[in-house]
Amino acid sequence: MLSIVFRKLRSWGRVMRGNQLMASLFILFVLMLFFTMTSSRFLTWDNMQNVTRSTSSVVIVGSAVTLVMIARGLDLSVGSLLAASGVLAASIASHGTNLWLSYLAAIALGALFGALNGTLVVGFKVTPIIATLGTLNIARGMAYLVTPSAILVGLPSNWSDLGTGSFFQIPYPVIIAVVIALFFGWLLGRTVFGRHVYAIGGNEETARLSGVNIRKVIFLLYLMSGLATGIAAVVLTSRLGSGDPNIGVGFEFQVIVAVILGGTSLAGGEGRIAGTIVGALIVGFLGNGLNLIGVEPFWQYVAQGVALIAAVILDRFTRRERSEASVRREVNSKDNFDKTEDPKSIGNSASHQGEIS
Amino acid sequence: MAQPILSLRSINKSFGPVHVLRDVHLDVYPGEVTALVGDNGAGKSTLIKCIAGIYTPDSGEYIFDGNQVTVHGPRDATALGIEVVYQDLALCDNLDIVHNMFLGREQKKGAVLDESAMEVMARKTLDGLSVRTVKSIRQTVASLSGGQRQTVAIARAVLWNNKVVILDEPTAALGVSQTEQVLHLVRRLADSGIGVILISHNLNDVFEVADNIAALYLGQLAAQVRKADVTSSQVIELITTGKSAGISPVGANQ
Repeated sequence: MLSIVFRKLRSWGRVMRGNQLMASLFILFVLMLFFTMTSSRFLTWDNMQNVTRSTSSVVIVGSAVTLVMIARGLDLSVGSLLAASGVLAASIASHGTNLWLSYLAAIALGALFGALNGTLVVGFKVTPIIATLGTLNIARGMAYLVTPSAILVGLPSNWSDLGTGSFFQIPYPVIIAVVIALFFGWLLGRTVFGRHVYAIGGNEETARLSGVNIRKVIFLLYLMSGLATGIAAVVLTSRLGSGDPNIGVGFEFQVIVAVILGGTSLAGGEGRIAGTIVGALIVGFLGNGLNLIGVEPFWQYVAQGVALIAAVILDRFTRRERSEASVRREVNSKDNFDKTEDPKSIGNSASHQGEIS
Repeated sequence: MAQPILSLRSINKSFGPVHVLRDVHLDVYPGEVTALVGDNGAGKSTLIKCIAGIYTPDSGEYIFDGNQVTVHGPRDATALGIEVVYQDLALCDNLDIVHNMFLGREQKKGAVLDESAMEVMARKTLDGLSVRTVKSIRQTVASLSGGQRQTVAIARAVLWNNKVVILDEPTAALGVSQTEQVLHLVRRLADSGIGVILISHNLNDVFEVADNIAALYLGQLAAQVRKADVTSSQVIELITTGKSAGISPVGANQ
């Protein structure tokens, strides 16, 4: 029985291999189809606005974390940092300071924590999981030190404009998320920096020997992750209308699920921003849909956990397929090498590769 | 005989109490393959790392193109036109051939990568080396065979008009026909005027492509000889005992 499931999984993996994005889109489509059929309130303009608005912070942070994870890093501190930056902004604004100045303070705190993560990983060679687990606790502690309970009073009247307003029916948070995702997509796909991120994820030592300044690149990745979290904190606290030190619990988990569901390899070296956006939407619609059909919120944690593990297992299966394929290819090309000067054999090996990839 | 492109004189290098290189001489001529042979621990890797700037020799002269230079880091060596193709660290599997060839030296158009220019240059370099085995230069390196990977690694070194290319056991992991391919490529590399240093454990390979053989023995240069002047068994003697009848210890070349 189990072996049949495995075989099914692997053949599915073979279909989806090479196009992780299509696989993620397929999952999203099935999910939306399911909730459309089970809840009449799911596929409405209001609900779409609502979900995309609340997914925007996962997209903003996930875009940056995608780069971190492609370079074989990890940032667990984003959830707590979201809270720390959020309450800092709210606390400053509630004392009558200019709204934008308080936003800027939140982003600056994000950058500061990003720089701290980068310094720990690059300078002190602490493994990313431990370094950011440490800063996760530090940031959460700082959030409670700023305020032990949510700041509601004294916030300026325009506090929630950014988080709840829209431009031609498109919520501001969505616009911000799209702009940031486009930026990271451009950075990853079109620039030398992005190329170096992939190279570090592929083989750090090779990248170093090729003259890539890996310390600088990795530091900047964590810095950008912190910056993006600062921006997400502003968007989120503005939307919620309060500075709450309890927000963002499990947020890092949502981000990582989104990134992995989006096809970023756990082993590094592979991944795309478009995938992360789809991954974030899967996470968002899953939670929303379960709410609408009346599933208890606690089950959402279960669903997310299952989604993460399923994504990782699928990643493992497609990866195994790939490495088997490369072994087969090696054998093929060895056979072909004797006649390599013959153009026919090149076509031959090409057809082998076509068949496998 | 032409002037050596790279000449090392009395190079010494110690790590703490361990004297790894003792008064090593080495001459590398343009357009020739100089094979560097020696048993494990003879100091081949250390010598290569001194040339590549990863280690700085404790004493000795480093003469490049007739001028005495000091090399303080890999960047200095790269600036001189010295490129090392490492045995197993040469390529990133997840990047395609073009990306690998330009890694660390990407061409830019404004702020973004100039993919088309890089593709044209990569194609030209591979054609120049008569490499016809790769299907597409946009396929990832993971999909290549061992021989093709080595070819890309070598092409990467050629791309930058280097004067000296060091190949660290380029055929170690290859089958018979792929080894043949890579050795042909090594020959073409030298024929284009580059000074090639080939590190190899395989004397068949060495005798097939080398013009010059430098044998290290326990951190000392046993001899640097013309291939035509020696037999395989003499070279084995040099590697295993540090001397061989009929070969004067050092500087047989001069």
